[in-house]
Amino acid sequence: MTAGAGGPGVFLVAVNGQIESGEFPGFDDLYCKFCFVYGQDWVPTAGLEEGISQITSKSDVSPTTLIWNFPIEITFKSTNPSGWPQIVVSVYGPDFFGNDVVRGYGAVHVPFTPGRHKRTIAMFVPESTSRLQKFTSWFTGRRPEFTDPKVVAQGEGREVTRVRSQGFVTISFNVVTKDIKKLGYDVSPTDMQTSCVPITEGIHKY
Amino acid sequence: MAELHVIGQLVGASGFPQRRLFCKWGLHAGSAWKLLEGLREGQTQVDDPQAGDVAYWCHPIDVHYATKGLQGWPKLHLEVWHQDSLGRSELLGYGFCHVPSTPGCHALTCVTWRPRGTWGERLRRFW
Repeated sequence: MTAGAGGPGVFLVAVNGQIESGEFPGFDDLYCKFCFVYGQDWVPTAGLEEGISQITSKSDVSPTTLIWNFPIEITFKSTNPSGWPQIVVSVYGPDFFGNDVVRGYGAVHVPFTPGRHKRTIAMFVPESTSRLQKFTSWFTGRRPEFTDPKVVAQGEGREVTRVRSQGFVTISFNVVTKDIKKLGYDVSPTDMQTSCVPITEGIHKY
Repeated sequence: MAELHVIGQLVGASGFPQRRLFCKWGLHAGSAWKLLEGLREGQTQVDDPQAGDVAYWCHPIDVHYATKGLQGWPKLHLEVWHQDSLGRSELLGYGFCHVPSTPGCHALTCVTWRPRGTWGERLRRFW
């Protein structure tokens, strides 16, 4: 995409936020890793593209919630909204024998409109294909894992994966954009009361 | 030529009589629309939820259209399928919804339906 006469050629998206907490019934002592997946027109210009949090355990005060409060700060520049960045979160914890196993993968797009947003995303693990494999993996601590967590942010190849969703992670974002409108992109929010509706709200109606 | 970016996620499904669901989806638009980037169709993972009846897919959609006119505004077509433990698939519902026509962040809930069939066909569903 070529810049017009004197106009900006790129727009910036700056994201500040945190991975707030997770809900994983039946699991404790978990830590999370995050990384960003984005298209080829996007380049991170500042901040960290990935991170690993501390290990957290459930408390007596909130027995179902695990708090990470893990900061996210990154700025991207791009010429094209295609390939808008997604954050991929993977959560790990110990199993019965003390091995580190994956407890969930999840991904969500960084919000498109400036402002404060909260997202609660579902976390799922790949499922063993047979009962024998399930027992062997429980025994040896080698659970089915994705070789690259970034697979969760892509559409290709997902039709052969079987997963089990078993938890949620809540992330809050503060998004600032620069020059998106100057490049001709309109991202103004709809006339709903809040600028963005949380992802799982529509589903929980049932 | 106007351009449209549709970026989002097929989050999941609930309210179906079975668990272990996956979705085949496709975006259809009129002849004035040209797909510049992104996949126009796909199939999600199969999710068997641990608790509750919501199956989560988290399947990303990121498409870039260019168009000469408003006619044929893109629509998302969905088919929700159930996969049993032997790997056989059964159709549970069809549905469609239009891509929203205002810029911004939208959460959409799409209703689905299934053809009923005759009495004989309904009986044969069990096998």
